[in-house]
Amino acid sequence: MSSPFKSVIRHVSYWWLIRRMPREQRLRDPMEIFDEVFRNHTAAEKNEVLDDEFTEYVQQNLRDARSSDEVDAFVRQLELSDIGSQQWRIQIKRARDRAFWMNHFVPKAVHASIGPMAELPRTPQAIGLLKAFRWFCNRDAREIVDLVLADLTRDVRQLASEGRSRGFIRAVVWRHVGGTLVSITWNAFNSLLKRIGTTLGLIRTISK
Amino acid sequence: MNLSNLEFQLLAVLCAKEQSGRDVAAAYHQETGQDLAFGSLYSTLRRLKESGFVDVRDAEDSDGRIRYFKINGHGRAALAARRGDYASLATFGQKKAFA
Repeated sequence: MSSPFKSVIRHVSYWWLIRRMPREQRLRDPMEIFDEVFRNHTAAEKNEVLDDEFTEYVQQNLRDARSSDEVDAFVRQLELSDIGSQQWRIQIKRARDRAFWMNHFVPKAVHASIGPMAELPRTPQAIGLLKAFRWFCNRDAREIVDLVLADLTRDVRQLASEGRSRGFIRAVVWRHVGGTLVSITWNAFNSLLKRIGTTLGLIRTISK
Repeated sequence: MNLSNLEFQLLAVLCAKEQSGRDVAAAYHQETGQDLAFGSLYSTLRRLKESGFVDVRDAEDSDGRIRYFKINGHGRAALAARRGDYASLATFGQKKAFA
């Protein structure tokens, strides 16, 4: 199997596994999810006979590693060691494979473990609406919209990390966006009325 | 300048220390129990800045801009004056009523 195709299969299997998990399960430890996916992955390649002791050793090291840097260091250590047999080379290849999973899967599993955030679209619709509204604003209002957008991004992340539901987060975002739209529109309307008043006053003064 | 109720409340919130807009919104919610949309908050704070009651400092992080607000001497004076107005309003007619 070619490498890009393998990569696509892995990513598709990741999404399939995560999507079919109930929400409570998504809130588990990312390492558990990693193990589950990895077991499925290895089960697909039963032909290779592996040394149980070595597999356990690699698994333990990968479980203990909490960052991709640590995994890379472990794999480098294996590669540099004086290993000649075919069996060990297979093990290193497998370890590298696991490193791939650690690097590519675990960050996503952490993301998925947040749960509600995993179900959220990248930008909630309300934020998209506010971004579109920004285009029609003057410089002062754009400044306000920029500040609101940044604060909403922080709010969404904080609420998601607190485990709030998707509906709740959307409601909060819509409330802020609605308030912002009304506020900016009202200010613009007031300023327009003032300008009209000033212009009418000038016209009256001139016509006298 | 006559401060509106919201402007008065925001100045009072800013009395403690320099705060970002998001912190001001959280403190406002804690004090009043009411939520304030970010748009209304920033519009009001901009009016306060234009009136010379607060100083502004801009910063930036990975999410975008952050604006910090700090009340200045002029703002403190306006706040004290408004508090005085409220105090006199609260005690209005009391001398006669309880005499």
